[in-house]
Amino acid sequence: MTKQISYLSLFTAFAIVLSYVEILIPFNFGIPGVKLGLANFIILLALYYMGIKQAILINVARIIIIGFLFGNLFSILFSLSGAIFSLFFMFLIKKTKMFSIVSVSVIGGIMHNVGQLVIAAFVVETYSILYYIPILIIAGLITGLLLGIVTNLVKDKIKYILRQV
Amino acid sequence: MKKNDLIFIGIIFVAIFVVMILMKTVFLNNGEVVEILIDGKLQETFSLEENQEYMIETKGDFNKLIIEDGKAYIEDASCPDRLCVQQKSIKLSGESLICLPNKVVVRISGKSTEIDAFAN
Repeated sequence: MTKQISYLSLFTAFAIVLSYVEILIPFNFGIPGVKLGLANFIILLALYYMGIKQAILINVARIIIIGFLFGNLFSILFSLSGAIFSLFFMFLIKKTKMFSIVSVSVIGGIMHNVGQLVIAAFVVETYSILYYIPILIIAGLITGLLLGIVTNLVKDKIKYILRQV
Repeated sequence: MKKNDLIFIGIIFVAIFVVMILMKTVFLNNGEVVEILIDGKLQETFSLEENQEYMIETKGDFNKLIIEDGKAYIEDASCPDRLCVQQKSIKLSGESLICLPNKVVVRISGKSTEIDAFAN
């Protein structure tokens, strides 16, 4: 039990650091909602080594803490909705067992962006911002793909460290 | 990376193209008017051709809109993250500037989108 808590905390701390690094990098294309999604690296590992509940827990904790440190209530709301959307689809894709972690990362990246845009459309009560869906899908695809490839390379190497979890 | 992954990514590419083609019928013509929506309701309309400076005011907050050389952008705002100020200028029909905290959307419209709104 304490081992679970220790690993959960470790993963959450790592995710927070990755989010912080992401904030430091000026990834600005002038398009609302484009993100690097570095913290997904941890979420993917958590999903594969621990389970969906733990992945949700780590993601929610990370979002709330980063939100309080660097964002505001609005940013927490949007990050959470993007994360829930993305985790749902990542879980589905993983469950089919037909794809590797790369596809899970890709769908995660895409759905995170799309989820945030959909919630934004609700908040400002305008459908016209959905104009940005194709660009966000492409951005999600690229970032998800790159992150997925990196995570895929790392995943098996750290199996021996994490097998006790 | 399995074969299924490549198929998956391929399907997504196709989906993107399909969505973009569908959207070209509604969006992406050259813009004619700038519409300002607050809380989803149309408040003001300006022509993209006339250079303007307009202060969008919402319950104690503001967004300063500039229309210049056929483009629109937000120069200053009272919201905490000021993401709207960082967004690129817009000029194509369908593009928009969004300020979520102030619930403000500045969008470009052409004649075609206005007619669609009246279908009952």
